[in-house]
Amino acid sequence: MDTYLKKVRVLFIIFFVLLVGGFSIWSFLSPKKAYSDMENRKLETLPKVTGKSIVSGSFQKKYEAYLSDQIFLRENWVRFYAQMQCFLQKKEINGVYLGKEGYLIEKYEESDFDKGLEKANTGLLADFLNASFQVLGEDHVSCLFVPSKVEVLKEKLPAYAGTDSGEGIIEQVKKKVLHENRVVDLKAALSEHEKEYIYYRTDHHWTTLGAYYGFQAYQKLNGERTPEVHSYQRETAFDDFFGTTYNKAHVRTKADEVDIFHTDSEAVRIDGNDGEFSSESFYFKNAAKKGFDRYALFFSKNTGKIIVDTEAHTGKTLLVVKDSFANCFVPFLSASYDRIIMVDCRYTKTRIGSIWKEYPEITDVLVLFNDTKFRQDTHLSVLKFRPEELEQEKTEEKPEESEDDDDSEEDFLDDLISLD
Amino acid sequence: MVFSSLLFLFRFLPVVLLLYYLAPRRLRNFILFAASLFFYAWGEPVYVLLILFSTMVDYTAGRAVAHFKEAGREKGAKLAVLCSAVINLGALGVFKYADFFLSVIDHVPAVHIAPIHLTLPIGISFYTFQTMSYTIDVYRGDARVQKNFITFGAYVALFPQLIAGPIVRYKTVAEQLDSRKESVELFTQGILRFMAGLGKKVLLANQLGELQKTIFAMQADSLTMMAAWLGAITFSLQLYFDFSGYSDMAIGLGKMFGFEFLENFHYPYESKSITEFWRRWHISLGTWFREYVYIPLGGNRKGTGRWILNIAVVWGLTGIWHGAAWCFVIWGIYYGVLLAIEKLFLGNLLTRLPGILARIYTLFIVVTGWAIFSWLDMADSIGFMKAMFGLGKAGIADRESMYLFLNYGVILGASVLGATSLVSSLANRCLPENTVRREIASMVFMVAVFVTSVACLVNLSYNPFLYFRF
Repeated sequence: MDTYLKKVRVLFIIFFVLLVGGFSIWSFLSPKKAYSDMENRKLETLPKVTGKSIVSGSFQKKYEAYLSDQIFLRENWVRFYAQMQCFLQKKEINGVYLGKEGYLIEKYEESDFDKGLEKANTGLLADFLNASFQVLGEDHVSCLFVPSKVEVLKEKLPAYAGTDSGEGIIEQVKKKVLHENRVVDLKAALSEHEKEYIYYRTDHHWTTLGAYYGFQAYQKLNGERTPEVHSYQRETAFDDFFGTTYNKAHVRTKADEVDIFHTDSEAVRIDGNDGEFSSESFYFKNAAKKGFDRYALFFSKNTGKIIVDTEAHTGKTLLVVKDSFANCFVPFLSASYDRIIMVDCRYTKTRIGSIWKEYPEITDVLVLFNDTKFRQDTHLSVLKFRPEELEQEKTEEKPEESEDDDDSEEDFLDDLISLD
Repeated sequence: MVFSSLLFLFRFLPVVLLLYYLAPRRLRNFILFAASLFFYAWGEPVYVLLILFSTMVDYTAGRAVAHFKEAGREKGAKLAVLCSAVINLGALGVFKYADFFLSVIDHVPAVHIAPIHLTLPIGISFYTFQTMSYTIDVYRGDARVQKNFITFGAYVALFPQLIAGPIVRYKTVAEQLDSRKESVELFTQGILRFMAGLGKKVLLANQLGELQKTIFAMQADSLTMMAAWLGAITFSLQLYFDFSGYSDMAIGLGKMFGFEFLENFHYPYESKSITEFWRRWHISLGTWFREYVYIPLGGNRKGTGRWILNIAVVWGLTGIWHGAAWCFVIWGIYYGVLLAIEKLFLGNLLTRLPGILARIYTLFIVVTGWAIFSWLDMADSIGFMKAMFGLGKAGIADRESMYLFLNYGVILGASVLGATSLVSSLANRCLPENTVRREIASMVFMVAVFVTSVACLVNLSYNPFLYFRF
């Protein structure tokens, strides 16, 4: 018995040595990666050894980060961790709720937001809307806020989970705006369809169906009809979409489907950033790389300015101030406007004022934001706009005009830039 | 460096084990000493000099004491011990308590010295106590002087217990330093013990820590009574698994190198009195204070008045040893008072109560004690204490408290179970110790624990960049 026991122990020691030693050696020898697709970031590489970095401890920190980033089978370890968390009946992993029916729902905490930034953004948006009211009139300006998944899919959240986010911000915008009925919180409209597939399970965006309901609310606001949901010919462009939320918490769940709602008015000409790219369709199947980039089906990458020319012949031109949520929404508008000018605040190189001046045919304005992203956006200064700017035709020749000086210089440079 | 890191598990430990077992026996202490210094220097590239200094001071003091004693010069020996104590406590005082002392002095009007903001050298509370124990033990004749500097250095810096204990008194390992025998049995025990400790730290303590951080960050208006107690209990469990996990890893690593350290924890949360609790929690610290402070002061052999004073001194010091802040002093005195009460009459009463009541009493005192202990980590310590005792603004329970409880329910359940000896007893009954069945079951279980722990460690650095959010 004793020698048998000893044999078992010896075997175990050998096993331990092979396991730990082998893994260590393999980790040491295996090729190092510079970039992680799974994490969408650069991975740490072997840090340089310098006296200073050792004494300050920065070499040690970097080396440990390097070891971690380059550990053999890193992706498998991360997935295993997620599985373990599920096994332990955790209700959230890495800030993502594990909801019912396989929904991964990002959670937000008050600490994710900065009240100062929120206040500034509210002001910038309200000022822009008011200026737009002045130029175009009350009925031609709209502002839609798309709620985040966590606020709408309340029934799919784990028990007792909840989040207090965003309620206040829309009220604050409404308070500062001249015609508060033109600022719409889509939460009510979307909540009616809570049980339907209106948000992706694995991504923070709304689905095309969700965007349809948003479109419905928009049409209602403007007293227009909405085509029945069945009147669209639906095509599932991809059925293997694992979006941003999946990237945060690698929990095995059902893949998402990205749908196209085909209409009769799909023949369009699209121009991105004044010639950077162009297309005759809203849909960029090749740009939507496998994995979490499937949402790029709509208008491909994030672009500062996109011009969409349609065959609508309504005489109306729409300026859309947006974030990525509008990408699957805009195709619904192709029958309502001759031209749609989409401006993404995060990527645009010019201010709204300059763009508006460049396209004086604008008859309507739509601001479409996700409320959570709006609270955190740091690029809204591009919304600084005064109606008078549109009348400054001869900016370069005008002599010193008190406060407008800076603006005119910027416009001048912008004009230079837009020349090919 | 910490044990629960990929660096330690897959770089440092394999290399050190390899070098150690390839080397001839006479070089092994040197390898341990060198490796331990490297281990320490990795986290403290500058303060490694301090530990070397401390080692040299006590090596010299030890030789001096032995020399004086041999020559019959008691006074000289006493002086050497005194020097060692002064220098060690001085270093500890400066690096750990300077700003605390200064803040106390600040209350005297017209005196103001700006805080010096020295960073605390890791492990200083542990290794200074260890080196002092050596000098005193040599003086008392409890241990023979160590003439080999390398061997002594290995004792002081031994990486298994350098950072977080257990505090190993020299006389416990004196013989093992020179003539330990590594063996298959010891090595296997070591591996299993180490993996158990790693699991306690990474799978239980770290996860409980997430919950603890969330609750401790709450302000008074969200601290329901449920949340406060959940937070205190979670912290109590977290601290136990963190600390005892570390001790397990230390003991396990010791065994891998042929050392047998004393146990540091023995299911403390099963205690039936505070007196018993302090014989089961951080045993090496209690032993140290008893041996080197309580007994020299006279213990309980100099009348009740002096006895109470001794308890006050020992517990005040125990408190402040844990950290340079008033909450630790209060915490220490809290226990001193309770221990005195138990010794005077409560202890007797407790033995006559049913076990379950005695345990509830003990846990109540202990959990409340840990809440006091962690005031520094709380966003709103006053609000927290109020909430615990029903005086908070937020009521008894709310959605968030329920959510947190459910989210961590399984982990909390596993932790509570793991803190008791139930699993161990059950295992001993179904799988008797030292049988092949038992060994294989332990090995399979521990390897599973180990693999899961590694997954957690890798996930710590998982940081996806979601550009859509920017």
